[in-house]
Amino acid sequence: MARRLLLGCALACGATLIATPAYACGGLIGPNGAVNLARTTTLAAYHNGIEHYVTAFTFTGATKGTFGSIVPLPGIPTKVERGGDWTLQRLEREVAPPVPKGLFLDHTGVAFAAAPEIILQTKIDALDITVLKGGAFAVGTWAEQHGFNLPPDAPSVLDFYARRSQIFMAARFDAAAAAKRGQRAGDGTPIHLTIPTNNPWVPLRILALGKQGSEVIDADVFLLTDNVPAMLPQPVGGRNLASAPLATGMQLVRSERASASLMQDLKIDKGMGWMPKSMWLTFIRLAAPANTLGYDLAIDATGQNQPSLQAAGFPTGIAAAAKHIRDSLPLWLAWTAAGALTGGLLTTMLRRRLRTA
Amino acid sequence: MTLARAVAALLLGAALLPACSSSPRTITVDMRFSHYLPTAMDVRAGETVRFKLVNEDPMTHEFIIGTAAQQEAHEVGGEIDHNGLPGQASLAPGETRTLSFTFGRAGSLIFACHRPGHYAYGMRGTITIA
Repeated sequence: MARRLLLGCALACGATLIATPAYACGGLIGPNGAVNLARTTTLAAYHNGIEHYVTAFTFTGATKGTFGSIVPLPGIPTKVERGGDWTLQRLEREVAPPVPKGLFLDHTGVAFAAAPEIILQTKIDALDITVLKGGAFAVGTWAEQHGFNLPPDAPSVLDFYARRSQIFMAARFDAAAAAKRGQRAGDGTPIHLTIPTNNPWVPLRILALGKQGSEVIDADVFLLTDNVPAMLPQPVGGRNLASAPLATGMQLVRSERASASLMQDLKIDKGMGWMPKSMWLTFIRLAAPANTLGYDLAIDATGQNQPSLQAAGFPTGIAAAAKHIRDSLPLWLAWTAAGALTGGLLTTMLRRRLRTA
Repeated sequence: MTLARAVAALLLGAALLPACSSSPRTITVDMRFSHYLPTAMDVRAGETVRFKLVNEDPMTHEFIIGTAAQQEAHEVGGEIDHNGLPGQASLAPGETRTLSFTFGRAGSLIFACHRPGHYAYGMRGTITIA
């Protein structure tokens, strides 16, 4: 009963989120080849044991110096290249109609990291990309030494990821190069990483790096998989896996066979020729206060419905995961659930009494 | 009478021993995940304490002892290196450093880090002087 009521409240909350205007669609490709996306948007596509991770780094418009971000990765990428200009925007367009350009919001880039053993270095547009391997201390120190201003929560966040995978990508905008290319504030550079891995996972906790506790983290996460994916923690509206905790900050908006037109459009974009004829599309909208985003999204794309606790950031077991999610529930939601539960119990008692009478 | 005097002398000696000791008490303060451990300490008025400061984080931290008003002033200050200043230290990533400080009269002080965002994040603790 309590679980149903809690789920009901969570669904109501999710419905509210869906009802808000979609700012994230219809981005235009700028004259310099940059993409404009209003919120953090990520594609994790998985096929034949390879994760294709596509995300965009947004130029914030600084006129001097360098600035960048740190991204934890599930494995060592075999390739890091400029992503197609169209992929992320096409996915956004698939799930929401275009909106007038004037409604775009600025979005802040995510802070990224790298490790002391340099695995790979490349330059993509005005971005200096370094893939590094190392522990939290080594990665953090490297970042500090290379001009990344780490926020105070960086040591614990880096440690959270390094316990699972010691591969990080540091992406740094060269402001001078960006200016030379004519990049404006809000212009994004899509990056496509090809990562062999047993199962994909999407780093979410890193999105809260340096954010204030109540600040809401917005992100759109797209998955393309051969099978219907099982996810941990479960987004609201997702399939019911036994004992899996529910993340109220994640809303499953779409779960369907990708349309033929979407597949065709994506396949013709740069670096997307690997796509098979048919894939399953999952779209998750994240809107969670920073202090509740203590998890990542683990995915089992094999059809065995066993997403990894470790990949979700809960190495100590399902009970710890459930407790974490429960503890991170916003207070108002907990009170709403408690109120609904009390109301339900009172109604039941009243009905019984009336029947007896 | 002689025995009583001897006992009194022993007790007096025992009481004065810590104050006369040549090596001050050492308190180890760990800095990890942008927090201090311990976050609260008790000292005596007039006591000199040797702090062993251990920065386990991959970022620079500070250890600055002062009143609440002094901490607020540091929060908007622009000093980058606090080493050599009384009751203050800056530690590079992974660095261990010692700092000796003599506490004055009874009351309470705060120790804190004023790197951008660290104080607000909770990198602070209290020292009670009895």
